[in-house]
Amino acid sequence: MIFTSREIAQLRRLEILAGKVLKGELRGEREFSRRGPGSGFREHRAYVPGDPIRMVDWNVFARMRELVIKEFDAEEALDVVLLHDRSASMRGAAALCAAKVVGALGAIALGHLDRVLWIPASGEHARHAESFTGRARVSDLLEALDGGAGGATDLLGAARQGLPRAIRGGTAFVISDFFDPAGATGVLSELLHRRYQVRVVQLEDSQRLEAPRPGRTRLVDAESGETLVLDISPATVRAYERAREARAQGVRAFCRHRGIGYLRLRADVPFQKIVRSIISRGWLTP
Amino acid sequence: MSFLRPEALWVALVAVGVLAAHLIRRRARRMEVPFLPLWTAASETPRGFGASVLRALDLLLVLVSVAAVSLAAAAPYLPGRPGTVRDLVLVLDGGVELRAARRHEELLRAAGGEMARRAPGTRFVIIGVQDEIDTLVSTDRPSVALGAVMRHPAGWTRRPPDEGLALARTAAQDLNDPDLVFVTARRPAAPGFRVHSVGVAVDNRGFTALDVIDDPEGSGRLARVGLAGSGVLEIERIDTGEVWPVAGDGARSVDLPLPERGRVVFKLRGRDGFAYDDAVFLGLMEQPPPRVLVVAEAEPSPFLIAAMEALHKTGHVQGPLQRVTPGHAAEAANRYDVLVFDRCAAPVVVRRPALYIAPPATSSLPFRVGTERPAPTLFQVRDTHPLLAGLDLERIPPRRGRPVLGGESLARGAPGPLVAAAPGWIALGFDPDACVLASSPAYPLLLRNAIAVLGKRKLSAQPEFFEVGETVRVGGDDAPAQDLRLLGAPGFWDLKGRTLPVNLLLPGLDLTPPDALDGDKPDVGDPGIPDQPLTLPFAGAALFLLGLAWWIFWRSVR
Repeated sequence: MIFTSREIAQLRRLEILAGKVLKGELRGEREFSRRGPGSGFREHRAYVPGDPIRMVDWNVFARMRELVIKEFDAEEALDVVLLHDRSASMRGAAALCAAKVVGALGAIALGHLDRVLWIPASGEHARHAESFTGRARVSDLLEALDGGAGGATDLLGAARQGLPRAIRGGTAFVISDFFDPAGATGVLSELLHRRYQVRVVQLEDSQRLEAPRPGRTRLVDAESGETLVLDISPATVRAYERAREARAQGVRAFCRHRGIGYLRLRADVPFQKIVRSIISRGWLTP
Repeated sequence: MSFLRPEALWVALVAVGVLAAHLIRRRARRMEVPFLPLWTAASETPRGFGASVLRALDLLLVLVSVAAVSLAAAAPYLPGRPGTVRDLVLVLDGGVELRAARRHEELLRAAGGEMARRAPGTRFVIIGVQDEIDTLVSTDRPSVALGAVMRHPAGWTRRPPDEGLALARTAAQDLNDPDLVFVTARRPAAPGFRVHSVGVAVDNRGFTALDVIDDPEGSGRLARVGLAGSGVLEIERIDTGEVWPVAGDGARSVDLPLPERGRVVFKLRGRDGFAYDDAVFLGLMEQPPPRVLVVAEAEPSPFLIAAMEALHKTGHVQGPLQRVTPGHAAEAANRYDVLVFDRCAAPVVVRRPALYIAPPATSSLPFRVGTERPAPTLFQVRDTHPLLAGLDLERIPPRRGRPVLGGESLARGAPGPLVAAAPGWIALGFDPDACVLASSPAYPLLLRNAIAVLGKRKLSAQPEFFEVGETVRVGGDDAPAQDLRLLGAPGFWDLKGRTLPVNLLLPGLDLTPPDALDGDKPDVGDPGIPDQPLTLPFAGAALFLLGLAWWIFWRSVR
């Protein structure tokens, strides 16, 4: 289990907090403006041939002698997509933090009867994409998160394989370090194309990203296994820091340009703070 | 190339450590990174062939600099070619008594220059002695370890401190039995005596000092030889063959008579027949005979002229007879040491040593002359005075005489003192031409004695040493006196025809090497080639290479 008992209690409080933010008491908690099967009356309209007879308001016909159709607001569950980077670059503190954030967001969403689509982006992402519905599935989600991770980062591939073919919209959270050779723009554009409200949480494990001390070093890529022998010098470290910052700023600039919510956080920040930050920003609201 | 401290070459083992550290540093440590492309983009340091060359050059520079440091620590030198000359050691007392305490190094430099000038080709080592802690300043061979001599305020030459003696012996031994060790010094003398110069010989067997002291009471000069150390020695005066035994252990001394002038050489000789090479030799200042001017109204007395010529021929008087009339006596007096007034007197007082023969009664004399009396009976009062040494005036009764009132009476007659003397003048109250004195052998003797007494110069009117920066008065005889300030390096200065030892050696000390004592050309032999120290070049090279290596390293990591 990725959460301790104390963290589970905190998770419950976060759920309550999210509920207050949403200001809703019913299932779904979010009203969609399209008509459909639901319990909330919306309006009457004149009957046109082809309308189902069971939708005719016979009380109105008895009083007014007019055939009217009774329409209701469509009430359905929100799709919350959790694109979870579980690649090898996320080992350690980043992986744990990402799992906790995903678990917390999933639990909150399931608690509000939303449908959670968890897409782990790792070498085995095609097999692990899984959909959860209902409060009872929280434990299943958390159990799924407890599994191992590894492989190369392929956020776009994971999104394409894990997302439903039908364009349904919803909220998509991307929790990753974005150390994806393909870059971040592909997956984010794909999510936008599928009409998701995209939220990005970029996690950085400062301990793993810390530059080694100067000297001759054989650098091994955690995902691809490629190596590079380098004489680390203060100048090299400075250039590395610049490249890392430039990459992060690139993701941020893209998100800002496309109206995507963006959070850049250190992996050693407690997940509660991260989730609170997400809630306070209203990212759980469509 | 040789080394003074070859054990310091072990420092070169540091190079092994440097090499090991380099190899360890070249082993790349493994480190997993989340995203390698970040490092690929950041690798700005020079890589490939250029970086490898820089690293290799850096390592090479460090290794070479370590080698240079170890070589510098080992005190390398290029051994010179040994010469056939013997080493000469000059030990200078730079103490307060020599007034050179504050300029010890200048003294040593000047002494080195003087030694090179006086004994060309001779290898010499200078040991400076200053205060009670000895200082070793100069040597021409870096491989020679020097000892020193400690000076003792109470007269170290006769009672040297044990440590000073030990150091001196060490110096002599390390110098491979040097020919001679001189120490110049001026020490407090015994009461009533004044030290003129001191020569000290130090060898690895003993410690000998020679003092020449002057007795102002007129008992002559003495050479006081102080010995220290063990063994029985004899001191031989080379020119006369006289031998003085000096027996016993520890410090002892013996007084030796010295001639009035000339050079005397003493040699140490063991009673076991082993003659030491070391010699103490001393040059005494030659005192030139006085210059005499005869003052007469007309032609001087023929007896006086004959006596003066004889004194000139025997070397008691400098130059042939010079005469002048009384009117010009004062004008010419400064150029002469003694004036002889022949039955006359100058119109004005002449402040030069003068012999007055039958002076007239006049006020320009430094004494008074009484009324002439016929046939005064003459008898001597002071037989021991140098003027009357070897003379008997009682056998030459004068026909007439005038009493001389003033000064010390040396011979008296019926009217009073007929021969009187005082510092600066001697007066005969009778006319030698009017008695048998003029034609007797006593007359030249009387003149010789009078001129010798009057012409005796004061010894060491000036101090033996002058400080640099000191004001000294020169001239005064033929030229007006001048006060000159001595500026510049110490040494022997030729000023106005005089040689002044400035902060250096005593004027009477002859530094000619022993081989030159017989008057031959000094056998200096082959001086050889002195050792060339290489410590500084190696140290400089090490410093430069280390700096270069650091610069390359800094450029590569920056």
